[in-house]
Amino acid sequence: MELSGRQSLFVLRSPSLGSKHIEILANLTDALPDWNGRDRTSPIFDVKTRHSETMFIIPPGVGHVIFLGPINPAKADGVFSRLVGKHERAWLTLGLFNLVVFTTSSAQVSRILGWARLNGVRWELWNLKASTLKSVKTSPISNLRPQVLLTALSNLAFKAPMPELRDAAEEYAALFAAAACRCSEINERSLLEELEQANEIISKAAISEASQKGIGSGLVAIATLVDANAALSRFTSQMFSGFSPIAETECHFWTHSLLGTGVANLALVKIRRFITRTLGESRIPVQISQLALVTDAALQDEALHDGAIWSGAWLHRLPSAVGRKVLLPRLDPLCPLITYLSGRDGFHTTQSSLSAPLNVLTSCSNLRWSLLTVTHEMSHRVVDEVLGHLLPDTADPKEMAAAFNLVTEAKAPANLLECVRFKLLDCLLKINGTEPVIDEVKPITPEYLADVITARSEEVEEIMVHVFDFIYFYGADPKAYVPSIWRSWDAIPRLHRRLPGYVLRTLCGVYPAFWNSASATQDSVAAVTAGMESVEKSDKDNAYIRAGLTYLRKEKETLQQRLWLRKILIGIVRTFLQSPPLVQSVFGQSTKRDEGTIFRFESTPIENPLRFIETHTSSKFNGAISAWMLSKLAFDAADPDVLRVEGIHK
Amino acid sequence: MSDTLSGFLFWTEWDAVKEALAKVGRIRLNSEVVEGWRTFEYNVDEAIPWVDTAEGPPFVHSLLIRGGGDRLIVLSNNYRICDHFVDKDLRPSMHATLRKADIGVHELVLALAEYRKTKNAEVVLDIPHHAVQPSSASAGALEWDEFNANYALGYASARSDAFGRNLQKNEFEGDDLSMVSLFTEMIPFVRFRNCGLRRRIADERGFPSSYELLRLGKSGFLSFTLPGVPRGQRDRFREVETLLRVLNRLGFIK
Repeated sequence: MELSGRQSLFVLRSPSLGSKHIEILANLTDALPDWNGRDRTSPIFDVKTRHSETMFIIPPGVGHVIFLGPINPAKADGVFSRLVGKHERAWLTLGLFNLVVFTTSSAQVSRILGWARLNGVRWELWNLKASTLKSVKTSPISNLRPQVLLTALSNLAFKAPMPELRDAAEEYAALFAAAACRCSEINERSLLEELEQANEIISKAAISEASQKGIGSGLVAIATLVDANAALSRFTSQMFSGFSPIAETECHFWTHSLLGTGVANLALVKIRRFITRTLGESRIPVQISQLALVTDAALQDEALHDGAIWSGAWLHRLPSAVGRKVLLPRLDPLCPLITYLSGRDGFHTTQSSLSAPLNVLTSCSNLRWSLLTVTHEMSHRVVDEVLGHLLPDTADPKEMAAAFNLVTEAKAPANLLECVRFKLLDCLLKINGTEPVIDEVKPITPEYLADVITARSEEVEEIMVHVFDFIYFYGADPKAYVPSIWRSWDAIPRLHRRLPGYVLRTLCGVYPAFWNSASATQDSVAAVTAGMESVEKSDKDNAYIRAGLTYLRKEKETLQQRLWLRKILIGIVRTFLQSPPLVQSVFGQSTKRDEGTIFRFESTPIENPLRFIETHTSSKFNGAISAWMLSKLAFDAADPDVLRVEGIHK
Repeated sequence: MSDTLSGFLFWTEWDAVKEALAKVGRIRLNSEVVEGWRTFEYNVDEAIPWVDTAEGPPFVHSLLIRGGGDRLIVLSNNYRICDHFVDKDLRPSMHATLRKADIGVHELVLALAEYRKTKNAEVVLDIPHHAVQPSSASAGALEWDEFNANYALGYASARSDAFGRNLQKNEFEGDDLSMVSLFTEMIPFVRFRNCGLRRRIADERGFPSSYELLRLGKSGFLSFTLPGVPRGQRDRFREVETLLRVLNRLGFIK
């Protein structure tokens, strides 16, 4: 099955109550002059059939529109190959009914519905007289119910409930029930299992927070539930609107109001699932906490005095450094993040959710809206948790006292974790001493140390995230990384004043590629300059690249010094957060580039969805390629086995 | 036809292929080599990139085609000829799915290495063979035992992304790679793309020996060498088909 590359608009007009007709139009501007509040529309993408090269016009007389899905388009080849009539056409959509067929032949209708029944594919049939909708038939609705989850939700109870907590919990339970029931209807077993798991983790966290003593504990629980509710309501409405009965559901993305965005949501689920099962399951933050078990004096000495341990990735050596036992034998399950699209939230993660911008629906084939940006958000989750182990809690006097003693050398580090903590704190103090954002205090005091940590933590996290992203998701390749991030930043409004920080982050990001070079800072500057120049040449409309390049060229010397000051931040990620086998599990694939041909569906499994995105994302905007990518990701991306590494998990 | 054949295994509808072959104007049926395998003369005016030809145009290539049920094998002297034929001639004439099989090369290599590791542990610990066969009752486990008794991993080619661009490709060749610690220890750092399976036999004096039977690639790639004598050639085709059937049953072909 192959797309032709042409995109149209399916419009369901409802000029008066009870009267409906359809239109297939070239674009929205053709539809708007006659628009009314009840009209709904969705983009559709032409499938290559015998007559697909000629413009489609709804013929007079009897016609039938069949909506089918969710189904891998490749598996419907038998349907498309027989659409040979002059008025027969097929389209791909981004809704859960992801295939649409038009035919004037009732025999063809019987054949296609027979095929759907045989293959367990849901369908909805619209019988037309010319363009007027005369009658609708739908496939039987499944009686399956997510009984386990429904029982768990009905048992959800909070001790001493505040009215707000009760409200949030009720909304939460109703939303989860709706999402789970609809997953059952479309037989999305793996999605349902993830919802069950997410509910278990989120409700447990909320109940635990609500039962804590002290002021505000109820509010923390409410925040947990509200966060999940916001994600769930979007997930449910986006994923399932546009499914049977189509005319009775409405997606709130108005350009997808007819059929919803279920396929794009499924694609996002696949990406999240891949990252969770590889990077997430590697439990890097927990591994970092285990550095406290490493008491080897020689290793500590190397860490403190910039010795050999800093020369390369070290994390994979942790199991042998703590002795021949399993490092993480018992692990709580990870919360499957609830995924949704949002114009306002863009790419964003919380404890229970992951969002991507609406623009990915039309433009994920363009680097500016690349789905690879999800990796940056996921990197934040890892680095944020790692910093939770490395940096002291500034609100905890005991932790601050220990950190103060450590950084003033009143107490020697007792293990490798404390050595890394010393290097990190020392680096922060040096950065603030040279580039103060708060007045330097000498000799340092515990208060000053706390202030520096607070003032600098955001910058530290951003730099470490860039390095992490570069190593784990870009193959430590500046040629791929620099153009990619600068093109994606073009989507951020009002970045001009913050450009120096973004240039510095880029330099820090690529530095690991040149760590062992005698001219590492110069090499980093050269690589970033080359990468930014390539964007400047190929992306004339880029809002920031010229100003960024001018700043880089003008402030080269200063930037090199600033980069040098931050070397330890980069080194911590490169050495203690990098493990080659884990990089391989996240970024590895057996082929150099994915060989899938654009627009073609063959149901060849996508080995690594991140590499698939990397391969098919370019500087060009193309809605049909974006739709093809989302469909391929939704149906062909293989779910990897949950990562289990010898020495770490088993 | 040279002694080494390469090409691809596809999933498709054989009836649709037969229908399409009848429509392709640039091929001519020659003969049947062994049961089910058909040879075709493939005449093209264009030079196929990276394929050496003695003279032309027109360029004349040989194709070997075997199909049945839901699968198709296309072979030639050079896999690029097969690719060219499928993309330029066969696919445009087809009205059914035609996709290269996804061969779980990485999974196969991992399974072979894991099997050997378990067996080696049994020998070291001197545990009776049957006592550590958790699923020996199942036909799959028995077939897997038999598979390991009959075949050995003789070739493996892999890509690595674990070290950035500093290391990208590894290739190993030997009689039984799964016995080599250097090989098994590098497994977490790579993903295998191609592998070669050797058929274990006893040589004429009774010593354990082996010969490479088939190379497989992730995207349905197949390659094997034909012996010089016709009888041996017929046997080789059968051996290759048998091996593919077993790999399919064991779940390594998707």
